[in-house]
Amino acid sequence: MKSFISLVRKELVYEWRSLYQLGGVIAFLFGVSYLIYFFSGGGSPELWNLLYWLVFMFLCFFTGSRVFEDDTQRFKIISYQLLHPFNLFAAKSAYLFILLNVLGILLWGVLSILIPLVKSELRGWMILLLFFNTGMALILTFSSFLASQGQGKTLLLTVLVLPLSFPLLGTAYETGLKILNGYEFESFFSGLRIIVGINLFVLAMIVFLVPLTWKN
Amino acid sequence: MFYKIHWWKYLGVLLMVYVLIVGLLTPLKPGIFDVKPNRFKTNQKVNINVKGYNTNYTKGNVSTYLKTGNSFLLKAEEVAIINDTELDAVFNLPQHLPGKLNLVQCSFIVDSDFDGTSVLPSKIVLSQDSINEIEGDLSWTISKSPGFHVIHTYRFPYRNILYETIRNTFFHVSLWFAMFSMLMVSVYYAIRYLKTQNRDFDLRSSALVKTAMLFGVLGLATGSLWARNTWDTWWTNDIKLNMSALSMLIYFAYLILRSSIEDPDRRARISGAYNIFALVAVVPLIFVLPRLTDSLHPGNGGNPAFGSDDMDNALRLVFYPAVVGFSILGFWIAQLQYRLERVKTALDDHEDK
Repeated sequence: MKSFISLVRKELVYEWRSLYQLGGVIAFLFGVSYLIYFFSGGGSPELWNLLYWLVFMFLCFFTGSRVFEDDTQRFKIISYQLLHPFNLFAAKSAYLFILLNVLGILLWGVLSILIPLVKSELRGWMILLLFFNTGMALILTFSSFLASQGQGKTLLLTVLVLPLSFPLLGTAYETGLKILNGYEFESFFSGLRIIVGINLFVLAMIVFLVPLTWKN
Repeated sequence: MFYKIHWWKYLGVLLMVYVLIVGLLTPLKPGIFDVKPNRFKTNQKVNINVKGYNTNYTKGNVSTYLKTGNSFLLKAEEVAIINDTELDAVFNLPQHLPGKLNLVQCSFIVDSDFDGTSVLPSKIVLSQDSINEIEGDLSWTISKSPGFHVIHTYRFPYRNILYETIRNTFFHVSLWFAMFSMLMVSVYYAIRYLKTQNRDFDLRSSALVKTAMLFGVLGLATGSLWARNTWDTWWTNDIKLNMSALSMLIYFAYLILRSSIEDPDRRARISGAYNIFALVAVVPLIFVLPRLTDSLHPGNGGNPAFGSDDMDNALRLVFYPAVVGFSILGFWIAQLQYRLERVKTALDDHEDK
C-alpha cells in the first residue's frame, strides 16, 4: 500500500513537472467546448450528451496516450526490480482515474455554462462519471501498456482502445441521456449495472493478463 | 499413410461439395408469393388474386381459406385456376367478424393435394361496421375440419421475405461458426505460448486469427448481401450487426498490434495476451448484448434461434455439414498460413546467423 501511494504521488509529481502537457489537454477541452458553443449555440439534451461523450472520448485518448510515456525500456528494467509491476499498473490506473474525473467534471462545467441544460443533474452525472472512469482508466492503462511495446504508440493506442471501450461509451451515452431527460432510479441503475459488469470483466482480465505481459 | 494423415482435408472437400450441390440445387417448398387486393369490408363477395411460388395449381384439387385467431376459418366459395402459379379465389365475407374488434388480420391459406398447404400470415385485413361476436363466431366456424394436406418431399422451407436467400444460412452462419471455432483454438495456442514461450504456438495462434478474420469479413459480406435482399438495405442499425463490426475492429487492432512490434518474443507475448482479452470481450458483444435488446437476427431480442420456424430438418441436413466443412476449410487455410510463417521465420533466423 505504501509503495502504491508513493507511485501515485510520483505520477502527480511527474504531471506537475510537465504541466504543459496537461495544459494542452485542458486547452483542447476549452477550445472544443467553445467551438461547439460557437457553431451549435444550443441544442437538445441528445446533442449535448453526444457532444459531451465525444469530446470526453478524445480527452481520454490524449490522457491515456501519456500513461506509459516516461517508462522507457531502460527505466522499466530498474523500476521492475524495485517494485512489483502490478503496483505500477495499479498506481497508473488510479492516477488516470483521478485525472479523468477532474477532466470529466471540468468538461461538464464548461459545457453547462456555454450550453445551459434545462435539467442540470450534477449528482447523477458524477456517479456515472465515477463508474465510467473506473473502467476507462483500466482499459486505457492496459491498452497504453500494450501500445508502449510497439511503434506509433498514440495511433496504436487509439486503435486498441476504441473498439474495447465502445460498450462502455455506448452505455455511458445511454445512461447520460436518461439523466438529462430526468431519470428514474430504476433505468439509471440498470445502466450503471452494465457499466459495473464491464468494469469487473476488464478488471478480471487485467489481473489475469498483466502478469503474463510485463516479463521481458 | 498419406490418406491417414490428410483424411480430414478430404472430408472437408467432400462436405463443401455436398453443401454447394445440395444447398444450391434443392428447390423451395411451394408458397404464396402475394395476394391482391388485401383490404376488405365485411358483408360482400370479394375476388382475391393469388400468386404462388414453386406451385402446381393445375395439378391438384385446390381450396383456399382465410384464417383468423386459432380456430376461425372461412372457405372460398369458388377457386378459378389461371395457371400453375396463379389463381383467383372468391370469398363471401359474412357481415360480422369473430371477436370483439372492428379490424382483424387474416392469414391466407392455399391447400392442394399435390403441393400440400401453404400459408401467407397476416396478409388480409378485414373491417366491419358493427360488432356481433356471437354471429361472427358462428359464421366463421367450419363445422367439419378441412384436413389440410401435408406432402413429404425433401425441399427447403418457403419463407416470405427470405425466398431463395434462405440458402445463405449455409454460408453466412457457417462462416461465423467456423470463425469462432478458429478464434477459440487460437486463444488455446496463445495460452500455451504464454505458458511455454514456444514461438511455434504463437505462429499457430496468429495464423488462426488471420484466417478467422478472413472468414469474419466474408461473414459480414454475405450478411450484408442478405440484408440487401431481405431488409432492402446493405446495413442497418441492428445491434448484432454493430457488435459484429466492433468485433472485427477488435481483431483488426490485434493485427495492427502485431505488426507494430518488431521483437518476435515481445510481439508473441503482447499479442497473445491481447488475443485472450479480445476473445473474452467479443463473446459478450456478439452472444450476450444482442439478446438483451431488440434485434432483427434470430436468437436475439426474444426471437428463437434455430427454432422450427427458421430451421427445419431439411435445412439442418445441409447446415451442420456446412459448419463442419467451413471449419475444416478454415483450419486447413490456417495450417498453410502457419507453415508459410514458419518457413519465413526459419529464413529470417538463418539470415540473422
